[in-house]
Formats: sequence, C-alpha cells, structure tokens
Amino acid sequence: MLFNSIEFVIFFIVVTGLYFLLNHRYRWMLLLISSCYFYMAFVPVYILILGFTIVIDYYAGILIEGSTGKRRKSWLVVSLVANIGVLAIFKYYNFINDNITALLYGVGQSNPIPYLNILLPIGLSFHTFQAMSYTIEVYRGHQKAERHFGIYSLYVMFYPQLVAGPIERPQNLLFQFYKEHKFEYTRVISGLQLMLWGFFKKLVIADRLAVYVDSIYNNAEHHNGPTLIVATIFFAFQIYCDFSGYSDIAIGSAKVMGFDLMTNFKRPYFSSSISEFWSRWHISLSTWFRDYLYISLGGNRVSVPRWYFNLFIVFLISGLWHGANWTYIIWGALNGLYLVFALVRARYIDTFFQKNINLPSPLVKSVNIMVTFALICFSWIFFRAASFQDASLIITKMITTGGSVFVSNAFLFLYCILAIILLIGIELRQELKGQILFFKSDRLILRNLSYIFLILLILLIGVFDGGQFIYFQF
Amino acid sequence: MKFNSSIMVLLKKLFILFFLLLVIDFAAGAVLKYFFYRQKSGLDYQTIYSMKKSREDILFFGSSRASHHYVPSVFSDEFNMSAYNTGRDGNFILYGYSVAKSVLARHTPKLAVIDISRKEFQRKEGGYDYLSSLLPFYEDNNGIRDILNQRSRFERVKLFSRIYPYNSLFPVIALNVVRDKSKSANINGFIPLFRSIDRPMKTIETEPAYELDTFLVDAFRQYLRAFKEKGIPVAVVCSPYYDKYVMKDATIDSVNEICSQEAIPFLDYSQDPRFSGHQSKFDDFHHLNEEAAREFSKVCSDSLKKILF
Repeated sequence: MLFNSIEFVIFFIVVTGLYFLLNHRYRWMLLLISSCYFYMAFVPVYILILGFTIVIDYYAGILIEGSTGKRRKSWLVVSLVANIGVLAIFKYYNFINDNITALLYGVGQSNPIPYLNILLPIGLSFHTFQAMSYTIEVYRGHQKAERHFGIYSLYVMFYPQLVAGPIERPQNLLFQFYKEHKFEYTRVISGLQLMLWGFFKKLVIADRLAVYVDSIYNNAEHHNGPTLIVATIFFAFQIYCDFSGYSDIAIGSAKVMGFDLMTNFKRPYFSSSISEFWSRWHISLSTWFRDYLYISLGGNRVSVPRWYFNLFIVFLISGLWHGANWTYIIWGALNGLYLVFALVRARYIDTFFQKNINLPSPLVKSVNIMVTFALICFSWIFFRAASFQDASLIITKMITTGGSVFVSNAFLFLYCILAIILLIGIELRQELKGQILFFKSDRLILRNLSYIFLILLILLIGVFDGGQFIYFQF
Repeated sequence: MKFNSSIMVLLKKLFILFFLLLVIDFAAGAVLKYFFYRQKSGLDYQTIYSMKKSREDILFFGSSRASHHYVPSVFSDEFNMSAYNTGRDGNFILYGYSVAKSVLARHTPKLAVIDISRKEFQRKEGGYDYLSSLLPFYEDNNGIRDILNQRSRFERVKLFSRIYPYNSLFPVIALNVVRDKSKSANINGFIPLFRSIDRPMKTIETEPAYELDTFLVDAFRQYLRAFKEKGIPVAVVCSPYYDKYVMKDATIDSVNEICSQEAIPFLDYSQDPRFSGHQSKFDDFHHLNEEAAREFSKVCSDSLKKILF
C-alpha cells in the first residue's frame, strides 16, 4: 500500500481510530494484523519470506541470550546468514549471475547457472537490516531477547516503517510496544503536521520533478549538457523530497499513535561538508553502518590508511545495499572517496588555510555548502542512470555539449523551479526557526493558514497519478 | 487534558479546518471552472470546443497522430463539408470515445474518422492517467463518468474536491484566457508540425508481445456502435509510421477484426510506401510534418470518398 494513495488515508484513519478505542492489551494484535495487511497489499506471497526471517531471528535472539562463547556466536551467524541469504537470493543472485555470465562470455564460455525470474520483495533491505540489528544487539548484550513472538514480529513489521524505514534499533522501538500510549493531543497534532509536510514533499515536489527528470534521463542521448545538469539538480531535490517525504509520513503516522521513530533526515542540502551530509541524510542507515560495520572494522581506532579503507569499504557496501547494479556500487564508492578526501583535506589543506588565510566564515560556509551540493549531485548521476554506460554518456555530454536547456513544457519547468525555491525557503526557516511554516505558532490563524496553504498546493499542483517511492525498490 | 475531552478538541479543530478547506476548495474550484471555460486557445480550449460546441460535418478523433495528420480543409474541399479535428496529444481511445459521446448527445456529424495507433489497446500501469484532461467535464457530463471512473478506484472520492479536476491547470488557464486564439498554431483542431527527420528508417523485426486491455477493446466496439446507431458513416484509419514494422501488432489485428465484424472500413496506412521511410515527410518517428499531413489527408479523403459515398 502506497502512502500517497487514498487507500492509505482510509487505512490510517481506521487503524488509528481502532488503536485508541482498543484496550492496550490488544493493541499489538491490531498493529500486527494491520501491518500484515499493509505489506500484503503489494505482493501477498512475500509475507512468507518476512515470516521466515522473523521466525529465525526470534529463536536466534533467545538462543543467543541463553548461550555463551562460540555457541553464542554461532547462533548470531545463523541469524545473519539467514537474513543475508534472503537478501542474496532475492536481491543479488541475478546481479552476480549476470556478472559471471559476462566474465565467462569474455573467455568464450557459457554460464550454466540459471537466471531466477523473481521480483524483489518491497523494502527487503530495510526490514532485513532492522532484523539484523536486533540479533546483533542481543549478541552484544545491549538488548534482552524478546520472548513475545507477536511483539517481536511487530518490531520487524510495524507498518509505518516496514517498507522504507527509518531502520529502527530494538532499544528504541521494542519497549514502545509495551508502553501504554494514551491519546495525547499535542503529539497527534505534531504527527499529523509531519505527515502533511511529507505528503507535500512527495506529491507537490518529488513527483512533479520526476516528470521532468524521467523525460530527460530516459532519453539522455538526445539531450545536451545544460539540460542534463538541470535534470541532475532536479533529481537531487526529487530523491530528497521522495525519501524524506516518505520518512516524514512514516514518523508522523507512528507519532499519532504515540510511537517515536528515529529522525531520518535533517535538511541535508544545507550541509557544508560530505561528512555533515551523511549525518543528515538517511540517518538510520548511516548509523546502522556505523554501529554494525564501521565500528566492527575498527572504526577510526586503527592506523590512518586502515581508517580511510574502513570508511571507503562502508560506503561501497552502502552503495551495494541500495541496489544490485554497478551504478549503485560506484555511487557508494564515490561517496567513500569524497569522505576520505575530506579527511585528507581537513588534515593538511584546511589546517594550512586556517593558519594562513582568514576568510569570513559565512562566505566559507556558503561556498562549502555549494561545493558539497555539487559533489552530491555528481554522485546522483550514477544513482539515477539506468546503467554505467548511461552515466558515462551523461557525464561526457555534461562536459562536452552546450546549448539551451530543453523545455518541452514551460509550465512544468516553471513548477519545478518554484517547487525547489519553495522547498529551500521552507527548509531554511525550519533550519533557523525550528518549525515548518507556522506549524508551531501560538496563533491559531497562522497555524491553520499554514495547513490550508499546503493542502491547497497539494490539490492544485500535486501529482495524484505519481508512482511508487524511489526507495521502495531497495 | 482528559482522553475524551482532548479527542473532542481534536475533532472540533479538524472539523473547523475541514470546513474551511471545503469552503476554499468550493470557491477556488468555482473560479477555476469559470476561467476554464473562458479559455481562448490551447489544448483545453480545443477539448471544450470538441465536446461542447463542434457542429462540423466531418469530425476526426484520436491522439496526437490524429491531431497532426488530418487537415480539415483538405477534407472540406474533397467532400464540400465543414470539418474539425478533435485529436489531442497524449490522449488515446478513451479520450476519443468520451469526446464522441459528448458530441453525439447534441449533434449528428455526416462523417467520423477515428485514427488508431499501434499498441493503443495495450494494458499498461497508469494507462488511463491521460484522462485527466477530461476531469473538468465530469461534473456536467453523465455520459463520460463511467469512463473517467476507470482512472482509479477512488476517482469518485477525489472528485469531491472542486479543485482536483483543475489540478496543475491554473497557469495554463491563466495564459489561455488572455492569449489570443489567432496566435495559436491550431487550424480547426489540426496542429501542423514542421521539422523533418534526420535518421534513416529502421526495420523493427520484433517487439515484445503485450496483453490487450479488454476494457479498451470493448470501449472501441462501443465507440464504433455509437456512430452506427445514429446512422453516421464512420471509418477507422491507422495513419503512417516512419519505421518499418515486420511484426503484426495485436491492436491493429484486433481493430481489423472488430471493424470487419461491425462492417466498418479500416484503412491501414501504417506502412504505406508513399510515406513510411521518407525523411522529408516526418517530424518524428510517429508524426507526419505539415506538408506530408496534407498529402496524407488527400490520399485518405480520396479513399474514404470511394468507400463511403
């Protein structure tokens, strides 16, 4: 079920209404049943895969807690193998097989391994990572094993964050299912405000930009450099509004029922460095990789070259997490290289500048924000392009071809520009004043005008025939 | 704040907000509707004219290929009748059928020409999205409601909003209300194209098979019958394509079969050597340029005259 559908609006009203009507003792059942219904609205049979990993991880958690030494570790390995195995089969099997085929073809051989004609279950990488964080935390002794099978299932399947995060940690979410959430007026309002802002970002900005971006990226060979540059900048805002819009709706809908999910985005395009960007973008995934991979590799408590390697490898794997395609791997590697370069720069170049040249800090910050944005946009080319060949073609054309920006529909182009300006304006206010429009104003009229402004814009220029959220495919 | 009282406060505030929204939606929708029907040019103006005002003897129905391929003046000269092209870019069979339904409710043309494209009956995700161009007519036109309801399961719910039918149209309406009709390229619905193509013809050996959308196939049959029942001569035409298609197309096969069952002439010019493959005659792979459109209109009208009159 898509958040940007009437079905979801009805579903949300019914589930939330029933949630507050029900006795606390039965609420977990309602949430679990509704989460199953939510997930099965996509491809019903895939709930069996989810069920498989839930059963494995549930028992693995209990067995890990009840054992010590090598046995404890072996139960963790069982859980990790089951989760990564599911990911490997459904997400990476055909990718690996395609590459084997290409390699064998290069030496004149054919590949006997068959191609699997399977669909990737929606949000597989998200709930697999959330499940893995549970068994790892139990193994590390930071979390008690959950004995209540229904509650554990709900931890993996909680519908607001089931298909595209935020990827939660057991310490933050599990206990909340036991807590009795009373109806709190301010919390409900704040959740609904966040949902409204999420819908606005998705329907008015992301899906509107998608119309232009798709038309250019799907026919890249016919477009010139300036057009491809504009489409890439538009894509940067599209993917941000698409994914952060989803996160806002998820966090908001959970908040209405009394649950606190972790923040996933903090206006990342105001970042003045790549490392700051990654502390503001998809925070639940960045911190997952930090907690479970980067630190396990030794983090920064190793030699400098090894530290750089750790960073690079984490981003490379983060790229692979996004999709089974070389474009995602290159995207991850590129971000890894940016970070390593930033560390080198901070160590040598920045120190030199700070000592010898005194530039006004607002100017430096502005330049840094623009440079960071440009670097991130460059990496988005690989993220958006259908193949490495397409990405290469786009970059070549950006460098070698000139001309005017292609505008097939002047109104669409105008919408895109205005949508971006509006977003920057609203987010700048949020960055400085801590509120979206006048959502937190003491004056009722200003609050209501803010709601009406966003709802009217959704009705007037929102895209109602838009498709899925980009991150569903991961 | 106690549970019940805080819920009541929330419901009260939501009700006030909803009421305010309802009033604003109603007022803004009424303003948009007022100006929508006062457009003097543009595609929506053409749709309004086609649905509500057209009284010409010959009417052409279809998508962009109709809009760019049939020159009404050529047919007028041939048949000595008035003609109008109701074709619209990006709008396919259900759009044509809806326009035809609206026309036939108030007028009886003397000849109808339906242009059909390859893959027109293909079942596609979001295949009815283009019908948004007809949403402003939903309220006043009972005849097309069942077609528009196909857009989505909750189309009726969405249409409670008075603004929704005019979604994304605000600047278009504003421009077309003030823009002079004489500056439009549109000539009785025909929109000429002027470029020529710069790559040689391709021979397309194979294309992936696709599933036919039975709703579209049924709609096409009803479309033809709507004319037949009023005794209006109707012809179905597939106008020329630039590339050579070796494979037969499931839509064209289906059209052929339905036309023969309904005893309606079907003229297939899709691979006509007088047009296909000629770089100078095409604006792009699917659309003839102005000069070729005139030539095609002459060829087509000559054939129709022989067959129908």
